[in-house]
Amino acid sequence: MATLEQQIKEGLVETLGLKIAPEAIGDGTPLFGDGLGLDSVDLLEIAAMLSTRFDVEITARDSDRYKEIFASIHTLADFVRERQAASA
Amino acid sequence: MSARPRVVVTGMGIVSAAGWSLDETWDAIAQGHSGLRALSLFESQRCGKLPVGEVTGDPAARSGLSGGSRSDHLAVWAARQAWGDAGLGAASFAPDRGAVVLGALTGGMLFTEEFLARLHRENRVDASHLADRACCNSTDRIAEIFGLAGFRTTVSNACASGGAALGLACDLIEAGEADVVLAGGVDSLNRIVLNGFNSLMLVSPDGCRPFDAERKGMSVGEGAGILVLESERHALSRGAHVRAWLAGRGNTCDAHHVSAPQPEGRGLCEAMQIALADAGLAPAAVDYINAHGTGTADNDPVEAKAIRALFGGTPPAVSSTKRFFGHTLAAAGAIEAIVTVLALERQAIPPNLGLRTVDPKIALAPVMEYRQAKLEVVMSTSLGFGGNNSVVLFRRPGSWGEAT
Amino acid sequence: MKPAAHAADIVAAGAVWPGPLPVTRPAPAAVAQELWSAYRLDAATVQSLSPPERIKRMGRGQEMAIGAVKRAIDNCAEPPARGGQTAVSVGTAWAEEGDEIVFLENLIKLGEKAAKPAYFVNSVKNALASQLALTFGFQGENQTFAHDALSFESALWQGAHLLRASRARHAVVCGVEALVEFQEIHGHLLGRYGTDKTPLAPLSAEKRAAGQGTLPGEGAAAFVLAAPGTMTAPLARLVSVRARGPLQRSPVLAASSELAFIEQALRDASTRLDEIGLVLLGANGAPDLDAIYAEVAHGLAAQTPGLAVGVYRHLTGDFATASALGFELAVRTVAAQAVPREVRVVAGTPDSIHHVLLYHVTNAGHHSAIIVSV
Repeated sequence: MATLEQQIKEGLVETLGLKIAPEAIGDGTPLFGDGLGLDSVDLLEIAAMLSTRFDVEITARDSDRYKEIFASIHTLADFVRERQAASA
Repeated sequence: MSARPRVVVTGMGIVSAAGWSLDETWDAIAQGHSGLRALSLFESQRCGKLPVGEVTGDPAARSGLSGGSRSDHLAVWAARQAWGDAGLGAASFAPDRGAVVLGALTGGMLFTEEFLARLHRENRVDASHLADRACCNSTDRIAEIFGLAGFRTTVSNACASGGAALGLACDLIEAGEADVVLAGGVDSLNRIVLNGFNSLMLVSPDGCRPFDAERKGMSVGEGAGILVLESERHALSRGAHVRAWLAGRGNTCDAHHVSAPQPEGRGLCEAMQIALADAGLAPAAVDYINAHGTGTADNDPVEAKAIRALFGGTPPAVSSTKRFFGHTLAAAGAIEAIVTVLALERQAIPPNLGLRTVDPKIALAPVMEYRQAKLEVVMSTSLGFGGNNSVVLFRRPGSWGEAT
Repeated sequence: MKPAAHAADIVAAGAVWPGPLPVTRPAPAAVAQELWSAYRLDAATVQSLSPPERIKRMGRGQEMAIGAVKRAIDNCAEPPARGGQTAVSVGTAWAEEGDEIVFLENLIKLGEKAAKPAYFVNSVKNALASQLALTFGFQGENQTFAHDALSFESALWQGAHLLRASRARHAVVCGVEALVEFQEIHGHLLGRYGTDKTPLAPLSAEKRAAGQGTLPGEGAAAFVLAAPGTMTAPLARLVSVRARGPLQRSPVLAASSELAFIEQALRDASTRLDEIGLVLLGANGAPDLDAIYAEVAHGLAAQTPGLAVGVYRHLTGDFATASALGFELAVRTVAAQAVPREVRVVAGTPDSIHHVLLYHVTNAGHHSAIIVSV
């Protein structure tokens, strides 16, 4: 079964229509700026994807942690794990 | 080379959540009464409780137009008012010299939504309103009703459309392409735009509060604003009453981001400078700015920076009127231009309704109470997705010389 | 007398063509059980429009517009500069409607929680023009016109006007339409399109089978305009654009009124019909509209025997801004003073061509006459 990181990569590629294979995204690749070059609108798309695929909500209350949560696949996966553990 | 013809406003028509006429709208403004209310046009789980600028009553019952979209009805209503207000008749201009330019985005989007919902949920195909979807239909309906056989087009520059339409109308008159232009904008509420802005986390759950420290976003609105524009010479020759002189306009594009404005407001600042240069005026001449002021986290500081950059430490009076009727999208530039002309006529500044405490990061002191003021030169600004900036500048009649 | 009001130099042109032949795709099952035919961009073109270094998705309309503008700029001796001196005017009837449909279908099928904001942003009609501004750094006036078959013509008029008013040094004018399934649904349900995949044959004796209507298409063409005489060696000169709409909702078209419209356009442009080397028509192969075009062509030829008449929608399919591709052919014609071989000449014998008249009319009654010259 695919790791959470792999699933997130697949979700990202599909949701954002990225023209690369999920495997081509490194776990630590910056999502914004000089990595994948995503922007604030993409951030919202990713948030919607996390909600649909992993049943994890990111709300405006998390906004001061956005930079940290969305830094890389790794940080996104950690956040999902944190939220899933909290609701378990 | 002959002088550029002066473009004047001889008629206006409006409909929004703040009312169905110029007087109703201004009364709401003078009384500080917001037209924002709970959504009733359609059901929405996620957006149902968001205050919206929904027009009260049934546009289809009031427009005198049979068939068409909600946008068509709003546009035709406003056009009828403007036509009457300008005292226009069939003899006022040769048909080929009458033009119409409308800003529009949504058109018959509600019909698209209904068609696809029926298809996906009921497996049923209903083509009955497909022909009513195009946003240019409102423009065509107005042309048909008023016999405007000249230039016509529909501008779709997102939230800066209304202002751009007014600018294009000036182009037509200055180029000698038209004598009378009905120009403005229209948009109507639908699920796509409401959910669209909401999914961008741009919509406030308690109504927009432009420039406020606690602002939580915009309020989506709908409506139509139409202005009758003509050359001053043409207006005077048919005995029309001149409401204001559209003395300058400026349009720029940030080329910064698809939906966020350039953070220092450079594009907007430049558009204001172009409008001032167009009018041959210095910044100090401006008495009032009706700001775009949507109440979102990004928009308001950008406008404030642009205004500071241009006007320095002594900016003119500023207010955003969006809490009266919401952000009416492509109609905003036109509806707010109308409010700006009304301010000029009534020599009073509309308040920045919804503002309690200015965001300390915003170096502006918007006008919070309705008050009388000596106004000679006023400006209306609009910013749209894609970094479009549109500014129009009006001058009070009697404040200039010979007719051109 | 307004020719100078519209005149501009056409410095460069670039286009993205569909085709060359119509291809079919199954109709959505819920709507029809048949194959639907259209002039679509082929795989190689689609590939070429998506530069490998760009990983984020863009709408097809945006990709086409960028592709066409790139090709135009590559052909420029003095390319338009980044910054405020280059304006952008785009004509597109439906813009990135495909993205709007994705957004909407997502709402319907998965609920409002699953709304896709990037698709909403892209679906706002000026997303093509703003993507052009972003990609090329053009910060001048940025306008999008969405008025059916007057969209490209509006953009052309306005771009030329800006230059004359010295509000820009270059105007990049683009006409573009991306064919999306919803447009095919719309057109088929309103009875506009046929299901035969035979290419369109406007004004041709070998017509498509009866009841076949026309076929949709897609494509983009872009032009770099400059004020007359400001750039070296322009391809052609835009003499005038006259674009008008009907005064009734479902007008009855009459060749006599169309001829009067064209005659007015020629008068405005101070151009005589006998100066026109080629009349290029937007005839779309649908019998009813072909009949009007044929009568109009006949009426023009009656005044100027031997007048060369050509058609081009067998190359593009039928869509509101196909006139931009027609305009590209018109520009190419005067630049070479000869008719490109893709244009099908249906009457007369073209000689050395100094002026081209591009004429369009639609069932909705929107019509336009554009004159280009050497």
